[in-house]
Amino acid sequence: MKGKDIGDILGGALLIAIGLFAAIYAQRYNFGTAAQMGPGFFPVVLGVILIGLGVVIAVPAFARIGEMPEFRWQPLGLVMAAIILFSVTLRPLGLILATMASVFVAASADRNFTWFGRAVTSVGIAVLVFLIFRLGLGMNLPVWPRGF
Amino acid sequence: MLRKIICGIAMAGVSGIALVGATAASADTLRIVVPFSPGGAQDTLARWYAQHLEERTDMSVVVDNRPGAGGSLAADEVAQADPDGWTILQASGGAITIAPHLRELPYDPQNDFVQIAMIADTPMTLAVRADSPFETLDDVIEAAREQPGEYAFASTGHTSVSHLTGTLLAEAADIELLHVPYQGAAPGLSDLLGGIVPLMVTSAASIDPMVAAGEARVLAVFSPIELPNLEGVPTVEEVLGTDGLNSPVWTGYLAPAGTPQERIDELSAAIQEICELPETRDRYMSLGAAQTCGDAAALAETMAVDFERWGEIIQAAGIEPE
Amino acid sequence: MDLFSNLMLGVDTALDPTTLLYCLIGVTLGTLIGVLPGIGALATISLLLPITYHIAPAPALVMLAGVWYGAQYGGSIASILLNLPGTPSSAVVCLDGYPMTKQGRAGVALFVTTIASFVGSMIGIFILVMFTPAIAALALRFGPAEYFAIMLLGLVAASTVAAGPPVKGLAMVVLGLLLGTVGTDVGSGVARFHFGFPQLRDGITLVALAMGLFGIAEVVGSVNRKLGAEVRERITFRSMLPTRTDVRQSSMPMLRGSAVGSFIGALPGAGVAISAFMAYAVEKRIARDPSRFGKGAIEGITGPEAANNAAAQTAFVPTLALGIPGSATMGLMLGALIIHGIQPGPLFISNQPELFWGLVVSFGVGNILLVILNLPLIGMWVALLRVPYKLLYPAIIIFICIGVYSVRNNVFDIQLVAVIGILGYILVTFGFSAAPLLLGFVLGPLMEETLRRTLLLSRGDPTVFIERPISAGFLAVTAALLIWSAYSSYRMQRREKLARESGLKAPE
Repeated sequence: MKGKDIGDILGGALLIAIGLFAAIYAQRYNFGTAAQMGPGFFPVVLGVILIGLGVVIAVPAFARIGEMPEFRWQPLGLVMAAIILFSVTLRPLGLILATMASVFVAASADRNFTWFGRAVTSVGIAVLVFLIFRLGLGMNLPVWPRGF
Repeated sequence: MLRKIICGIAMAGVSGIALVGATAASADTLRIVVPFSPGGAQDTLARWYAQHLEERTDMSVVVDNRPGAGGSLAADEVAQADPDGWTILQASGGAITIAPHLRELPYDPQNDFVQIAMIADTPMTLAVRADSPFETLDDVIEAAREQPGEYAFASTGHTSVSHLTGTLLAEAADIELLHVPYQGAAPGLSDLLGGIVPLMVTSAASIDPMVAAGEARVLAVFSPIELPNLEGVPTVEEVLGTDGLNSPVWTGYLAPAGTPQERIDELSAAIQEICELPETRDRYMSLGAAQTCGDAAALAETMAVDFERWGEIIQAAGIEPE
Repeated sequence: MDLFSNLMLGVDTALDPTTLLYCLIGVTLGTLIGVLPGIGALATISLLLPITYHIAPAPALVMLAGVWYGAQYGGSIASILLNLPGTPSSAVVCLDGYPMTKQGRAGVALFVTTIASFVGSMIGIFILVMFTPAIAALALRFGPAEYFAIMLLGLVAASTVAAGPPVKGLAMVVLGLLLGTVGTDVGSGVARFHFGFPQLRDGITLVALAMGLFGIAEVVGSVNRKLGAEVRERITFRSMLPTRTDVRQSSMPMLRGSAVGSFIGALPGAGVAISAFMAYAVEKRIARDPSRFGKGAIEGITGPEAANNAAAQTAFVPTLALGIPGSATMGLMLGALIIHGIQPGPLFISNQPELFWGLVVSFGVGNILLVILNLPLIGMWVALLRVPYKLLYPAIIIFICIGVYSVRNNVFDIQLVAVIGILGYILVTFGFSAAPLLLGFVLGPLMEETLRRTLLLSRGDPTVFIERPISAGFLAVTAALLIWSAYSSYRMQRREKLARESGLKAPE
């Protein structure tokens, strides 16, 4: 595998996997006829096409030299964690605390932050978010923990 | 130094917010959960009641729009809410009397709610384009008998009230119609007026302006409604001469099961009072709704009949549950 | 003279000081929420709707409409500066707008998009004034067959939107189509790919998809790399002015974009985002040197920007002339009328002439206000690039979360952004581009629905597509386009081969 265009091989493989999954999973939906296409028709056809395109992308890549693209797992993980944290804390803890917690986690992705910097940023953004969305736009969002 | 200043500003901001937040949360707030997006007839109804409840009681009222999954997200939200009488659901057919026949739901529509009051009926109509050869419902039935399955009717969605009402008609008149589902009333109306589909089962509210403009006609209504443009239109029950075909599209308020009875009574009285106001009648006219007010028992009765009717239709029409 | 008296009636309504004030509030708010990623016109208008209870119908509608078209202006700002579409319809503007920022031409890009927005809107308004009844009648003649044909044309035309190898672009379109099948199937009521989540019954929200694909992937890719302040762009009025070449290169695209946008916008159900994609595809197709696209070609931002603003105006044609809203946002506008007890419908224009003409004139006024508002702000927006990225990106993440939440008041959608963000980041890293995926997603459900409905109504007979003249016309254009692309790629290959044989290097 070394020296091959691994990026395209993996990319193609990903498409093949998604296509396969869709085409197989959609078997549970009725395929139908031309006059009355069922809900399974489109997903199956699209899944098969996607498999084909995945092959077209992956196969020539074996004969080509390329580089494995660099994945930045750490920032990806932290950003995802921040989003999930926000989503689970918004309702119970309210906008302010959810924002502060989430920003604190998200800010950890950046190397140049000090602890103090992170804290100030999270407070600052929480204030900003409150001003824009709650006061400015009047969104129906819980601001503080329930019963507070 | 700069840091300290920023810090200070931030702290001041936070304490300011704390004050605002605390005052907003301390008042008693009734939350009306509406299973539809803002802007539609159901939302307008909710806001009408919210406004009048605020004027008549010392509660503050918020409308909480929770659209999605055919109303079952909103129903689930209320089913799981504290039964303290401060969260109620503005319910209509879909999630309560139709969905349980079709799929597993995270809530039990029969036992997780108690009725408060019924407020409206937004009836369905059978409509055609203005230049349609069909003059009466009998014409449609006759034509459909001659060519079974030839005539199509547009509905506002698969297993929507509109679809099932159309199916109810076909079953009662013993005819076969081709069902063409659309996503909501707007695209269906577009194809009805464009002559793509000959028939449509849609709410009085959505067809009323088209009738006023002479673009469409209504052949029959599925429950009685008083609208100037639909005067003299017979009900399906009258045309077919069979009893029990009236199928009102009810709207009412439900609370989570376990809500104290006094609270229910209090809300019920206030809501019914608003429902019977003369200005409510005018408001309903512009929404294509009939002023069908009723107490908790009336709503329970309507819901039970509705639940049974749709169960039978779904079975008779061979619509398969998921 | 009739038109003149109607317009005078409109001027009376629109220039009423109260209405004018609400117009200003509307467009300002629109620009602002347009800039913020995630929160869009739909959510904002639904927040404002209850307030309009207490305002007269004319200013209420003028304000809500201002939010709607103002958001189109604002949407491109974040696209250009941060590669982050403020609204899904401005995702296309990222493709060439962001490269311009990297070249230090953010000011120019913002300047020309403001002008393009204005030109597009004005042309859209002109069409609204002149041809509303005719277009409304035409739009009614578009049945499912016609919609399918035009969506197919859009898909084929726009499959070139991606930079890089065409097969990768095509794969993304197909993946987009596939993601579009998630949710309740209109034809059968079956919920597909919901994996037991009731929230997925309504499908993936467009905003969640756009934010996950563009926003999250961009943030993850830029953390620790982009410091902000790296582009030391001098902000003088002069530096914002487009060069003579810029003007030459963008005047025709503005007109073409406006034409495309006006047409697509007037079709109920087609939408603003599709018009922007189509305009981009048109520009790339007819460009003498398509390889410039994706690297900061000015036509790549002016065409789509004119198109989505023109479409935002003509979207009012079916809504006001027929009472048939083409999108959820247009449905809300009608809701604002209903709140005031005014029945929208085919009689709206004749029953409420002051309201209709007042609204139309206010569009003109609003757009002038938007230009006055936006041009001086360009400097401020460009200055945003100097804010250190480490302060900017956590805010972006929160804005995206709240914006996505605002669409349906649903925390599930926020979690969906995270999942889509991971997928988007992986795809972008593997060299796939997100724009064609978004296009497939927007077009897919409509294509499937209309194809199946056509065949249902024709009892499975596909000849209806050719029997109906409008649909046949679009299919013919689609076929011609396919043949032409095949021919031109053949010619290109031949030329390259000849060039190689004659020992010369193939032109880039």
